[in-house]
Amino acid sequence: MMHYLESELVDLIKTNGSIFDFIGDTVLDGVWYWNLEKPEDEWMNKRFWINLGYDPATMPHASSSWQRLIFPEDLIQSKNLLQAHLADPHVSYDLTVRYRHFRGTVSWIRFRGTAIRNEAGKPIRMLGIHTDITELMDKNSILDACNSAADIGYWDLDIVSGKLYWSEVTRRIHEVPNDFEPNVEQAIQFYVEGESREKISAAVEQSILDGMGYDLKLQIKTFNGEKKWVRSLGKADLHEGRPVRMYGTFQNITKSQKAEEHLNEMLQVYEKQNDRLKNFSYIVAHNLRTHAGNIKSLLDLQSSNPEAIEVSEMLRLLRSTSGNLLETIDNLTDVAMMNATVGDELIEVRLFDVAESIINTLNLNNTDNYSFVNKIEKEVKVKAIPAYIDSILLNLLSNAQKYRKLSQPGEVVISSFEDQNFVEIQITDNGQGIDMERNRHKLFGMYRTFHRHPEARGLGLFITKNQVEAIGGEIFVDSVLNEGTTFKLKFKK
Amino acid sequence: MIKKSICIIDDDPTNVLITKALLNLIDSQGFMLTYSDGKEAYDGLMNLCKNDEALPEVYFLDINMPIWDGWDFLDEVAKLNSQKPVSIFVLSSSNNPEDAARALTYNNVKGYLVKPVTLEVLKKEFDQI
Repeated sequence: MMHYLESELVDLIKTNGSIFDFIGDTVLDGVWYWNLEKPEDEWMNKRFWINLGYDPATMPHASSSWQRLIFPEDLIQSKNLLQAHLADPHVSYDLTVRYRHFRGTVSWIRFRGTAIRNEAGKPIRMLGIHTDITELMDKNSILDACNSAADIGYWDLDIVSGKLYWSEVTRRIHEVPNDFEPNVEQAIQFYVEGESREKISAAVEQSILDGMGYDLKLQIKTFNGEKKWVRSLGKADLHEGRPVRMYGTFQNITKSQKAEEHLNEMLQVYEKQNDRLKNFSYIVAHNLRTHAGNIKSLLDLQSSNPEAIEVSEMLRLLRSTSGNLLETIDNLTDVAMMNATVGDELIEVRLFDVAESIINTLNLNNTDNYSFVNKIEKEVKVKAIPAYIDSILLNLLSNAQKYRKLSQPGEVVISSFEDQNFVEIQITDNGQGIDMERNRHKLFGMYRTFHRHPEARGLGLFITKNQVEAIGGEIFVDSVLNEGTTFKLKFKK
Repeated sequence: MIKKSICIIDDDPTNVLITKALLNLIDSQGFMLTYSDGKEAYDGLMNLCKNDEALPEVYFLDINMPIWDGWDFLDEVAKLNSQKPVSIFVLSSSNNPEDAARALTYNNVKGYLVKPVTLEVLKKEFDQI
């Protein structure tokens, strides 16, 4: 049953032409009426042409008028859809095409039309309307360009139907093929198992409960198996306490994440270099001054108070002091050279063999049966400068022997552990140990010694740490006074 | 001039000899003790205390030494909270102002002398005790 106002309006349109004009000029961006039996005849209302920038008076009522202005490939598309619609009324005639506006710009027009059939069911006329969606399409294309440039996509989930939409960029970040249809479970599965997947699952569940948003930096593994860092934002819409929709953005931040990591690595390298420089300048200021100062004091004494120290004693002191001065300068040169040769290529070194050969050398001078136990896995290899590995192991093993406890048989055990990227070497002795609380911060410093030993120079651990770090490794130490020391070395595989 | 008992704590034998020779020239010392690192000095002095023997009055302390360095020695002495004031001169090759400032934060430290120390400087410091 028609509402009385509706039937009144239908009558009004029939009797009063201005009502039809009003609808055609205001609600719609063009009306056309086409004679399918005589296809050249087509009537277009004024609004049709004004909308495209043309003067209606100059545009003949012929289908060729607009067919010159529509994009050729869109014309073909519209003709194909027309054929389908004429053949089967259930196929709706609804598509978006592009026109060349009088100004030369592109007008995006949504076509909707319906065939009018005679009693025999044969289509004889076609009635159509235009809706201009140029503004929307322009904004969309700007948005798409921005999204694409920022590598930021979006997604939209209809929780009621379960349908998940991924924007073009979202699909591109996931590297999915064109026919891939995402769903919620799959979307979650793209997150890397463990922390990333747990975090996103928890965030989604929470948002569905309280309607609050989340903003996370996580890792995904793409369809092609590549790992990427993404920033994932999402939020659920609740209606009467129940989630109805969830949507969010999805941004590829792999580049900035990698740049950040690289920056941090560089920062660490520079910090280490800075520490070395500081150390170096401290040594120059301190140790060179010590010897030079001694020489000056001795000579000053000699000239002002010749009787203070005997001449022969004076000469002996001058000789040993100048010897010390020369040795310090040589040490500093070695250290400076070592820092300069870091560019050397790393090659594979079999640690077991290196340790064996060092143990054999140390055993030659081994008068009191110090035992070296080599438990390194025979196949373990690391990437290193071979001379550095020699020097590192020789220094740590000879230290263990040098600072043994005389009260009990000495033993040092060398063992190895492997993980995916690193080899860890552990060197554990039962020697004198080091007071870690007092010495932790100066253990690897230059000219630092921790025991009264005639051969302690305070250079070994300093050089060892430099060599370990120069080949991308790390060194740690743990020690208990009077019980023993464990050095842990991490090398790249 | 009143003679003072002296303690030199330094691991460099040449420097110990020079300091001794300079002190001899001032002719200011009573008995003299030398230790070659902070820990040895601390243990030796604690022993003197235990046996009720006289402790030195003036100390010349090097900074960079094995086992306990000069800082460790100063920290441990400060912990003793002794009522008896001692005069410590830090005698170091370091001309780093940070080291000097740090040394002077200790109550017992009366001066920071940069090696090589001259007879004049030593005399002046000694006269002020």
